[in-house]
Amino acid sequence: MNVRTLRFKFGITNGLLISAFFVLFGYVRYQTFAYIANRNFERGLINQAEFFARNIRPTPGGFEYLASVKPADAMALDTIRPFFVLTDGNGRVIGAEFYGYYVQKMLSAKDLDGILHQQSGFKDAQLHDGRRFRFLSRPLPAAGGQKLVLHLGRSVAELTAILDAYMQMYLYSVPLVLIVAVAVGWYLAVHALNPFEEVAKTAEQITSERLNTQIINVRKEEEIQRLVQSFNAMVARLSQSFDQMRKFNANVAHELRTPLAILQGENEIALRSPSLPEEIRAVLISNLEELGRLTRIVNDILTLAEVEAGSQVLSKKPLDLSSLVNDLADQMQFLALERNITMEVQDLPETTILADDLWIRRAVLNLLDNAIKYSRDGGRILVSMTNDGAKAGLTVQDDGIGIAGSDLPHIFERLYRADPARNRNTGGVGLGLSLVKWVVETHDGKIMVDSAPDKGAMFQIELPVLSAAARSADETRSGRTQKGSHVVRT
Amino acid sequence: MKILVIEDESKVANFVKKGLEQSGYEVDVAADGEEGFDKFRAVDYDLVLLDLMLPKITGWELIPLLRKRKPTLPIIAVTAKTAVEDRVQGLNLGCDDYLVKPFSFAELLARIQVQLRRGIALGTAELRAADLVLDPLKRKVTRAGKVIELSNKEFALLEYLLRNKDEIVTRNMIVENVWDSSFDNFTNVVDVYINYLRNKIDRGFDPQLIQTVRGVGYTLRSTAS
Repeated sequence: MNVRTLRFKFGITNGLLISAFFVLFGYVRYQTFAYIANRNFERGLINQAEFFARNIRPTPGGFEYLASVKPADAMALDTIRPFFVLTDGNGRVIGAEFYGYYVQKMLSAKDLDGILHQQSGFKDAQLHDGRRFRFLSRPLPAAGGQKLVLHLGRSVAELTAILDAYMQMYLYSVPLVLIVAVAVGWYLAVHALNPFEEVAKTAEQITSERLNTQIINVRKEEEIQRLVQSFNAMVARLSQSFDQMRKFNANVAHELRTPLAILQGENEIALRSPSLPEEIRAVLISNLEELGRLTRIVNDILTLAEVEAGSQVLSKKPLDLSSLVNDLADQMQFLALERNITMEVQDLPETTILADDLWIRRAVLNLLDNAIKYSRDGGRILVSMTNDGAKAGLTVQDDGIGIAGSDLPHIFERLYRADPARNRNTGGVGLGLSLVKWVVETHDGKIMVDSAPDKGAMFQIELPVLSAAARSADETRSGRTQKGSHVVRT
Repeated sequence: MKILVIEDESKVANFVKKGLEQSGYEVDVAADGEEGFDKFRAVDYDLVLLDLMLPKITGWELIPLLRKRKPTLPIIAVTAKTAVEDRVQGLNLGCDDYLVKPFSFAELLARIQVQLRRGIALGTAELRAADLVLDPLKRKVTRAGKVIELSNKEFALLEYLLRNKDEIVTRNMIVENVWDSSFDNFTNVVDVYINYLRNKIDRGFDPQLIQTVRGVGYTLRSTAS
């Protein structure tokens, strides 16, 4: 999973935000709930205390109920049974009702003292057996000069049970919510970002050679439409400037041809004059050499412009690669022999590809030419080929001067010269390998290189093999169209 | 021999005219297609040198017109365009040879000479130069009666030289005709093959038939010079 994708960021952020909101909201709800539950509980206590306060009358030995009330009635006010203890103003117990006496014994002396001396208000206390009670102290209306305080107590077990259960449920739900929230966040992020992914995939197919491609938008979302529109507009602008550049290059190269032709022709004609002084003859010959170099450069630039514009129309036909390689190697053999280089061509498996003869020839020739050029005298070049039925791999390996590691990534770049001094005399601007790469790639192939200084170089080109079935289909097709023009414009 | 040069670039026309005249040809120059066509109709030329990009009537339009009137007239086209399809188009349109600017004058001259002698050495008849005999049908080569073994390319090269014997052929012409290709890489190969051929047909014999024309190409002399 890529941590740096928007999808990841959105998913995690969404999940965390949703979880945080849930946690906070749950906590506030718990607090509110606890507050309300406590208040209700205490209100109940107050009401009951009020009731007793109105219906209890102190007697010399304790207290008594007013005739009209039965204590059970008061108890019936609530399903949760309270009890009470009656004290005088100094905390001395006058009497107790229900569990009052019992509860007094279960309390620690300190708690009991605190409660019994309290004149009014709430106080919580824990019994020895762990049960918690809440007490409400309330003075009774003074009767017969005696000040009395009612201490009404009630178990908070039920209240805490509910709150605890609530809290527990809340705590358990947090991880669950976290998981669900992240999942939902993730889904939303993915869903929201999918259209962008689609746009990106289409955009990836647009290369500098296919700048006329436009993204066709199938999404209705306004944001996506705007993105696609601005992208298309950008590509169109790019395409335009690329076009202008290409045309400019082609035009410049083209315009250079006529003056070059004139220079070359006039030089040559001048050289034919027998009365020419020797110095001038030398100058003219040198000029002709330089003109030849200029011509090669101009030719290279034109080829480059044509290749870049994709205007070189490839006329692909079934081509016997193995015999083409054998043929070219045979022809180059002599160049190699001249420098005592052994060029060994292994048994090449029979291989048919769908290719433009002219350009493949040029590519293979360039590889062989390079191998010879960069071999030492007496070196060895090995040409071999594999064919696995789907791909043909042609390998040209030499044991020459090799390529420096720092140059290796650049050798397929146009106009790149590893060592400017080394092959200046060959003229041209260094299109060789970039042209090979272009040819191989326009034939849906790949080119690889492996080399180290003084360890020679190995170039491998991989081209899709034309299957027997496709071959026969193609033969029927080309047989039918053979009468037409050889050059097909696309 | 009269040659018509149809070329709108006056300086190109000038040096071509000057060079061809020095080589013993009569040359007329026309600056556009229309003028060229008029001159062509007025004079009986032996060869037309034609720029393809011409004002008024282009070279492409002109070739069929010339061909219609004189089907066997050699036409050499010249252009500044190099795209492969142009090359094919030029030959398809019926010109006999094709040169791309900038070209060397020696190259042009060699091609003109070959075109003007065209037809002389075609066919399957035995080709001879001095005591060298090449039989295209049996693919057999002998010199002074001695059989010489040649590889296919060497044979093709010798056949080409013999068909154009006593003419200068440039490396480019050899590459185009023997290798059926137009790559610069091959011009080196030509030198190497010529050497091999020399070793086989000239070494130990007299006269030396294959001669180098410095800076231009080669020629196979049928007679000792």
